[in-house]
Amino acid sequence: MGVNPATDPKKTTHLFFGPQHPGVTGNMSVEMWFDGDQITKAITHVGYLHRGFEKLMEKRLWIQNFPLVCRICVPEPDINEECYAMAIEELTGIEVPERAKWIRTLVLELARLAVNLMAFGGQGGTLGLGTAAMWGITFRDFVLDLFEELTGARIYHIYIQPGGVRRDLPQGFGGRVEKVLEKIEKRLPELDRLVLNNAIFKLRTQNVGVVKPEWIEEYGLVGPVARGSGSVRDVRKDAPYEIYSKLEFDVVTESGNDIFARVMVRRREMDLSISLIRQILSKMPQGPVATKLPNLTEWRVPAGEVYSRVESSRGEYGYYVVSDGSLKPRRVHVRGPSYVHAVPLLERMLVGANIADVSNIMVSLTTCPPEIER
Amino acid sequence: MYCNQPPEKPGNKKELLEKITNMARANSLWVTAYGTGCGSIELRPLGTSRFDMERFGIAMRPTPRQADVLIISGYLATKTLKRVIRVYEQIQDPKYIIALGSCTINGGMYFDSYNTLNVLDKYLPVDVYVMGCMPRPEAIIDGFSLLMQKIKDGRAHGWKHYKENLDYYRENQKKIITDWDLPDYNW
Amino acid sequence: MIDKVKNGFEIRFPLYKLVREQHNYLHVKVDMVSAMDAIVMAKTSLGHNVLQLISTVDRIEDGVFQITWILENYGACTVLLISADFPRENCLVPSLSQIWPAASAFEREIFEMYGISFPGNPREGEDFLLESWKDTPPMRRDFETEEYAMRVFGERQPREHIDPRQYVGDIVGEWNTPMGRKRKEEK
Repeated sequence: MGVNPATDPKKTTHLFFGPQHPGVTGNMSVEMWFDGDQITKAITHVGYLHRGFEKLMEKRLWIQNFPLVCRICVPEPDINEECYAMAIEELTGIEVPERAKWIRTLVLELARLAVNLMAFGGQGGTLGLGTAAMWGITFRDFVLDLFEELTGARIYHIYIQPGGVRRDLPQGFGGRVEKVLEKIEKRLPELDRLVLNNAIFKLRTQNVGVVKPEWIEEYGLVGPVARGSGSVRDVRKDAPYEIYSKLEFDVVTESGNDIFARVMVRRREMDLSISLIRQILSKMPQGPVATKLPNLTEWRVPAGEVYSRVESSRGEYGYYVVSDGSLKPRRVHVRGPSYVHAVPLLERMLVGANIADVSNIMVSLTTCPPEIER
Repeated sequence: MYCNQPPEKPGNKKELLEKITNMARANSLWVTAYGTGCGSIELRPLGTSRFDMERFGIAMRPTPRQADVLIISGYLATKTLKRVIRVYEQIQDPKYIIALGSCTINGGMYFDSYNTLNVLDKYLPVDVYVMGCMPRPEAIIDGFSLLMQKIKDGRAHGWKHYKENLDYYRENQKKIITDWDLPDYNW
Repeated sequence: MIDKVKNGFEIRFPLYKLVREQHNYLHVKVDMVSAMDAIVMAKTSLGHNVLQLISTVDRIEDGVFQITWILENYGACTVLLISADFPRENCLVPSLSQIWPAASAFEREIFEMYGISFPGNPREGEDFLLESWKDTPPMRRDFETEEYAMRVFGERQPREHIDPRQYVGDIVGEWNTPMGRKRKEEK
């Protein structure tokens, strides 16, 4: 020994993976040192999407931040609005009408379904199953159409506001949601056959990218990454927000620890989302959807500090909001689940991995760079 | 590894030949797969059967060496600018840039951010801007058809302009990238 | 569950300040000397053994940085926030990277964004979000982001402003807009 393999130029190959690479999730990069085709050291580089959100939010009014927060996570913006709105409601004590809570949960579950469709197909895409990736994105488009009808936008909805939602469901919306669910449900077995029953997919994902159960508490892993390693943690169940306490569901968990287990968690979460959406649609009460807010240009949120959290498709999402009683927030700190998944965990997981599995492992963690960098 | 010669100035070809090659160029635009910002999420549906960009001859390519078009999909952080310059200069001539989103035009909602560029035109030659935040897939297709029209008419001169005014662009780029460690000529 | 945590603090740190309490949520403030002891106690004897976040608030009017460690108990799903004030000048905060490997990334970000040093973090000073930043650390309150953006990225082009009421009025006639009809009725 004596020579550090990570620094000895004769023994190792030094490679950059990304930011311009089709296998990278979003705009980030991993710097790697190889011995043969085994990785000996990896460093994640982030910051390519840093927009200084947290600084900009200190410079804008409370309500003006809603267009900003939803841009922190591109595939699933609603959790950000929900989390930020929850923090404001906690600080001001604004009551959310019952129906608004149900509508919010509906929106969150629809968004989760859309992301999981894309992530599930995308996992196949990294292994050359291009059709799976295409199908996943095509099915997601059906959900985006619903969002367009409900909120007026495909990607960034800005639909949730403090004290409720922006507008009520359109006439006959529930029926159209049901139609889309049926359409997706009919196609999902085909997607399963394409991905989960594929011999190549199984060979490339089983016992690859193992997340050991003891890492969960060491790194603070959340969401499908933790649940694929036997954890039963789900904020929806453990600390229910909105109306999750009134819905019947079991936390999805797998014990394989590998990529396949995480893919299975995502697959079963889709079924769970579909069942939750059906429950919401059948039980949704009537009533107002928003509380009247004070004059928003002179709205002072009482001083205080609060940490609000929700369950996103990637795990627990937290907002640490500090108000000093002025027109603008003092500090908004976003804790995205990808932060620990993509930086410390990925650096640890890649050591000893094969060069061909890097993109596979990365996608299985569904790292989302914008929420690391804000 | 790099060229240490300044770029060749584009010569004037015969007009008819240029017209025919432009026709061919316009109908096979290959795009570098580089999602520089959040707009890249709407590029994926473009490939599916619903929007189907391949009917216009637009395809995604993994490396800049095989591509003609670079899509700047949204705000450009200063750290990304360096990589984008590198990618852009690696693309073979002729090359075009499409910029998506309001934030590339004048900063958009990030006008006072300390880490995003305000006006992309100063740093890279943009041929087509697509406005909106974020632009719908239809709008992106519209941007592509505008670019195709520009190429056919022989008006997509961004790359020529970049070569001729390299000093101006380099000066602006070096103002942002304080630790400039790229080679001066990168093609 | 949270009562047990509160009791632990009452016994060990009688001078602690309670900021917010709920059935699964506790926010306490301790002084800077006992912050590390409080965190170690929370991890070893109170069951809050998962580090979720290290956050900073710049309280410039008091001349302090308020550092908050957010710890979770995965079994009981309770959150414990421990805050402490550190003086703003030459701010040094003990590092947690020996206890939690994930802390290293949070501390690197805070070093970059606030200039707060964490002695004991082996990777301190490595670029995280920014690249070759030479100005004041950007998240400090005395850093003016708009002024910086103006200076470095240049002013963006002024926007053409159209008064919507006048614009619509020009097209459909003065009284045909909703505002116009209302005013007509009032007359």
